Amino acid sequence: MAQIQSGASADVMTVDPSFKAARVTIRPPEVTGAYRIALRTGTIAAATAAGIMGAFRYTGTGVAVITSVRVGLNVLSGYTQGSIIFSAWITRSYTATETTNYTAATLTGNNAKLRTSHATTSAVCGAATTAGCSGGTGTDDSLAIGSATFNLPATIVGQPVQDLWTSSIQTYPLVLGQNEGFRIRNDTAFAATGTANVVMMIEWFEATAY
Amino acid sequence: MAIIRDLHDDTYLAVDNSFKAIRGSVRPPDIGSGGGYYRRSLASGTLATLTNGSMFYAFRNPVAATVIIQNISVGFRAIAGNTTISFIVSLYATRSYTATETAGVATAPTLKGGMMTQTRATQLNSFLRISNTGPISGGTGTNDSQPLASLIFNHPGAISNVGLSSQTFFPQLSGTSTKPGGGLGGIGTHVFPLVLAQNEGFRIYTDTTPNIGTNTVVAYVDVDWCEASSF
Repeated sequence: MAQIQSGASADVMTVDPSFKAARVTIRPPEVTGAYRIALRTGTIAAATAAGIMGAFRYTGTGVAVITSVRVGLNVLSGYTQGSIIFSAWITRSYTATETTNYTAATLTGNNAKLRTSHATTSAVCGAATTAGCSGGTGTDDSLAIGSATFNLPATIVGQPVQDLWTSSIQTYPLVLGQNEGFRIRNDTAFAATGTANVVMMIEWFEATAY
Repeated sequence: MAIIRDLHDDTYLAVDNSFKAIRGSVRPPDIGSGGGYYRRSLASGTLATLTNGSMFYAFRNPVAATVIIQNISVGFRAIAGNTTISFIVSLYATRSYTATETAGVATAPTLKGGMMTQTRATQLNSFLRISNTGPISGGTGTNDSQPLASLIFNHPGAISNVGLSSQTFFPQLSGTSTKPGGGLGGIGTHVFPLVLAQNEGFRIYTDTTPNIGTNTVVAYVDVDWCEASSF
């Protein structure tokens, strides 16, 4: 017979009388830091070809665990009616971050931290300016890990944010080692005439191991 | 071999037959003594002057307690207008808060209510403020360079009195994610919540302009949080 007592206090675990279930409180993973960021491209021109709208690279020596990637379209002017697909692609052997048509996010100091006491992130990320960005040297996988489709409307109708990819307690997250990352790509071209900002959200934590 | 027994009322922990798993009953985050669980839904006045970079909601933790943000959702009602527009609403973390915003309508610490259980602290500590008819300002905290999250809404233009459905900044925490596992989201499961120390908070802005022409909106902001001695 045993009772479970806290090692830090005299508290003893309760077992609920009806279902004979132990009371538990679920805690976040052990992290060096937890982060979120929303990125926004510049005004993406009409008919912009398939390319990279956002990029994320982990440069630390531990791991970056990606728990969600989301994307939406802030439509600025109407398109020749069409549709578009965005996808997230794992990038390996990332030796140089994107440079062309690319605006890097400011991730120094406390930026993007979900708790100020956490360490400054070891990730770098950014968004395209007015066309797909380039200049990064990582190699994308052959297949995407998540995608979302959007309408490109003839009149201004914003396309709310959708999940490109999320993890849960029952699925394995995307775990990035040093110089690994992912890219958010429009896999099809934007339709003619219209313009939009691509809004991207990334949620991750960093840890010494996972 | 150990059999686990509750010391308080002599109940024995069960192990399920099929998967041989112990039963767990998930409880809310522990808040220690003196903390509380809260939820507040605030509505703005009719907003006609929001532009790119207008703050319409602010939340500050002014005390030594740790504030754990569990959900933030935003919705709008398009009251009147003439111009169809898509606009971005963003959430920014605010640090080193030394003065709270002054305009708008405040929910002051002395105002009771919104607590989710009567047995906990009956007075919230956090400051909440929403716009009245225009942007709020006057706070001295420093925002991060980029938002923590952004949402996209549509003002339908000439069609008046239309609801723009609420969206959440934290779909995994609130369990509304559309992808596998999203419904199992929750504080502490596998994602980290926004944790605010003393004099930290968040602000919500229109990052592009909704009030084009005669467009007006009313904003609705719901926040779930708890105030704990530690986390």
